[in-house]
Amino acid sequence: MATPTFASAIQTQALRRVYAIKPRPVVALDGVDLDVAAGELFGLLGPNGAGKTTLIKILTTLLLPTEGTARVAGFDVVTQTGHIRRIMNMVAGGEQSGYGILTVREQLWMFSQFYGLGTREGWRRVDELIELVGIAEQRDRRISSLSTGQRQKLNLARGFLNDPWILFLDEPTLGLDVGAAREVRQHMREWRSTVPGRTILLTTHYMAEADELCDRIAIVDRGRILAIGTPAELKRRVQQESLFRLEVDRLPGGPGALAALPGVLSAVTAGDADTAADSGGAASIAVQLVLQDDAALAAVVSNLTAAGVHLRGIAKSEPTLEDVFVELVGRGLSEEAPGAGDGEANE
Amino acid sequence: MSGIAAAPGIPPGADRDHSPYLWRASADPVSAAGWSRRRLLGTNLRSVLGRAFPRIVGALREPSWVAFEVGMPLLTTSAFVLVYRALGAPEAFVGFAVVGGAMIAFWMNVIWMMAAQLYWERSQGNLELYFTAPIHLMSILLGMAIGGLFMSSIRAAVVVAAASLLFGVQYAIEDWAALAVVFLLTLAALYGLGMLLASLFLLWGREAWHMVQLLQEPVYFLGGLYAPIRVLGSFAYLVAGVLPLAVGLDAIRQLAFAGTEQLGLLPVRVEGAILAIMAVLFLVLAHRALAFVERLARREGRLTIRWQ
Amino acid sequence: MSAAAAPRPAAPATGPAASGGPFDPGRADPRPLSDAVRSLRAGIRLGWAIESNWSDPVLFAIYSVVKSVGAVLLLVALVWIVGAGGRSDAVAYLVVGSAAWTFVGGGLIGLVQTILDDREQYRVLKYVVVSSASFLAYLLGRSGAQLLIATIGCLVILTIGIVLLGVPIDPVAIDWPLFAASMALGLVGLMALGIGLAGFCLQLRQEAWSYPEAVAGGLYLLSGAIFPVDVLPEAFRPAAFALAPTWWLEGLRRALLGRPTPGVMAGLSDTAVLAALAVTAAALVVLGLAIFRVMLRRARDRGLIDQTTGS
Repeated sequence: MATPTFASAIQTQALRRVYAIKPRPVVALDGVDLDVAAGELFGLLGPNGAGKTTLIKILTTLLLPTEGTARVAGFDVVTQTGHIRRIMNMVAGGEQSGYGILTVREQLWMFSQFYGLGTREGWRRVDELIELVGIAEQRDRRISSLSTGQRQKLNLARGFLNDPWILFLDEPTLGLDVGAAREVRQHMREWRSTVPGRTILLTTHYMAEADELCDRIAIVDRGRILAIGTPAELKRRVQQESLFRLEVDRLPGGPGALAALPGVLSAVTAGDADTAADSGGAASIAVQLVLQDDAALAAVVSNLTAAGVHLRGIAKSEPTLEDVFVELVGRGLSEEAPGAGDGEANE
Repeated sequence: MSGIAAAPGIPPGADRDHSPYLWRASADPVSAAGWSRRRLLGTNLRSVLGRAFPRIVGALREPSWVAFEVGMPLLTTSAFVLVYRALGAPEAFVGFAVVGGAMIAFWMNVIWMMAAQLYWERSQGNLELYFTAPIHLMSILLGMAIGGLFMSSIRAAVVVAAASLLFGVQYAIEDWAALAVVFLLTLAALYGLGMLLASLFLLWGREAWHMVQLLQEPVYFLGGLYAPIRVLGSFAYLVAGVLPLAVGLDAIRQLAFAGTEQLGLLPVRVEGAILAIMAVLFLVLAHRALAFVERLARREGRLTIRWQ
Repeated sequence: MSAAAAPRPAAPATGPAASGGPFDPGRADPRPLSDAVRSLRAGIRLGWAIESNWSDPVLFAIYSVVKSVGAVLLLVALVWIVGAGGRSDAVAYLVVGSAAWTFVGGGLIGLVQTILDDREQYRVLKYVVVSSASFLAYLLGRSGAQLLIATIGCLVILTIGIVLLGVPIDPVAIDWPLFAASMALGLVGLMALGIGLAGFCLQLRQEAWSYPEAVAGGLYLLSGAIFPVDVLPEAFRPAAFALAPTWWLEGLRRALLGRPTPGVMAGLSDTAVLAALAVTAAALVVLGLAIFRVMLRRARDRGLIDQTTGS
């Protein structure tokens, strides 16, 4: 088989989308530049109304851009929609599409026909996917009777039906319980890893999900990309240093002795309220360290060990992606901007 | 992770048959996107079957529709027959009303189970899934039509049988083959019109729905569902050129009640030709209209708006 | 259910509690009249917003008028086609029947479709049911907007009938007491039928939408809307006389046209017609409300209020 020849799975340039709605037009996307490489699991993180769904709708050929260009696997979303539709699929969270009178198996088979699978081939593929996503017991139940989690698994199975190269997932774990969400994320990982070059574009406003899954994340707000990078890179925008909390049985020389070590920017003991006791009831001293980088920790530990100090606990403190967002925007991920909408003209 | 993984589609050592996450391997998305005409046609034909499937399954699975699909048109047809009898109309009109009442089944299928269906599909969230699939919307519409044909045929057949028995209608069919051909041409033209109207529903949403409700009675009248369109005078020729229901019904009546040609508008052969032209013309127009409306809907973001 | 059964602390007359501080158990007391009035008003406003918001006002007005007129013109055209154009009594009969029938579309069909729309499309039914609103009053209010549109349609049809078709309705000669009584009782009967049917349709899945049309179709055939009851086969006439709409239409025709329908009805006095209407409407009220209560309870029991069927 030939080596894949596409460089970018998704590429947008100066992408802009304006909805002409009353009383005033809504700019859902405002000059978005994006380049998702083949094989990435790329996340779009942002609050409601940021423009994430609008971007997905453009890339999945449901919506035309007002200005700018967008390409999926090199195919233009405006002029080569047929090509794109053959190699992608999409799954949205909370999706309630389908025909309630059909069973799980029948619903999926119907969609298999839309992607050109043979009649019998379709049934075989459907049965395999039903087993895969874990709804085998519901295979002959009408989809109107499925729970939220089961319905989303069904949607995910539909997304896998045509072996897409690019999978668009619009808040796929929305409304799911912890177990179901975890299963969905696992399926995402395994699906992508099966074939090199398979790409996922994931929108979410669950920061932990983005942090866990994504190779790179774009933080989106009010139609603009505020920052792009790996989760670690994004967090370093907020906090360059490494923060650690140590618990020791004693501290000879006090925190000042640690502060003098190379790579240690500051060392302070935690307040009385933070003083911990171990399970034996012996008092511990908590020390907050700010280090230039993680590597400096080794010197601290070896210094303490050499002084006969018992190290009872080490914990790293990291900023969250919400910290990153707040740093960039000045409000939390759950707080919508005034007058925000995701660009859809809902009554 | 950036750039391209070195390995082609399937990782070395991977066993395609045992990975449920992979069904049909392809080298890369560019080659995967390039379908042959044969594959495109095959997929669209399969989509027709796929979309007809829920209709047929639904009809078989919940047969309660039979009572309504049979009872309601029978009620309406009976009402018009009794109006004619109250007014002392010629008995031929009773037969016309029965045949017209049966054809309403197909007209309703075209309007509500095909044209307007896209409006409901959008509010259910199915429309966007159809648009993101690599098929033409006409395949979906045709599937809807074929699926609905099952119910409509039963409805029409029972109305004809029951109303004919109830009201003592006497048929005089001399050429069954011609009747069958005209009936099929009428269906083809009707469904072509339905596809064209589907684009309007997609564009106008609730306004289209209300317009169809508004035009229901005028269409019944202009379509000759309860009286031959000849009564419209020269205006009938204009109607015949636009409404396949009018032409088809006129031809069907002439064939079902041999000897009533004087009540027909045009000779059956001419009306058959008109229907054939309409079928082709409506299909071509529908193809263009759907493409236009899709582009417009994508530009204005209407493919996923609910309650528009 | 009596809120007075359990003792509760009296709410203070002044202070933070009186202005909405700690929970005031008095809020849970039933207020049937005010709940009903509030729900009725909200239903009417919401119903009007839904019925009128799909287009601009001018188009909506044109639509309302044309829709009303279309049906009656079709029937009148049939009269002319059949060659009975000289029969002004037939035209008058059809015009009055068609004018009145707009209320069946708005009241009966509209009421049932309201409950199905709220469950399937707007998905707010469960929120209305669990609120403190009077559900029955809300439903009646929702159909109130449709009745308002039906009234406009009715007036348009009658006007066209008088002006263009020569229907002999003289506003001065109308028997207004008979008209008012017939309309009031007839609408009560229709709404009661609609309420019962709405409760019944709440139990259904796929065919719920077809029931109101089917019932309206049956009434159309049996109640003398477009032809006298005498034209019906003999076996169906008892059913026709048992229906409130039959007497409602007869009462309206007598009030507007000043004469009874020829045939069986001609031998009955106006009082007898009104009495029959009152009795049949009362029966519908009792039956309709009973069915509604039973069906609503059944729907709660089976979890049907918040279940969407996808139909």
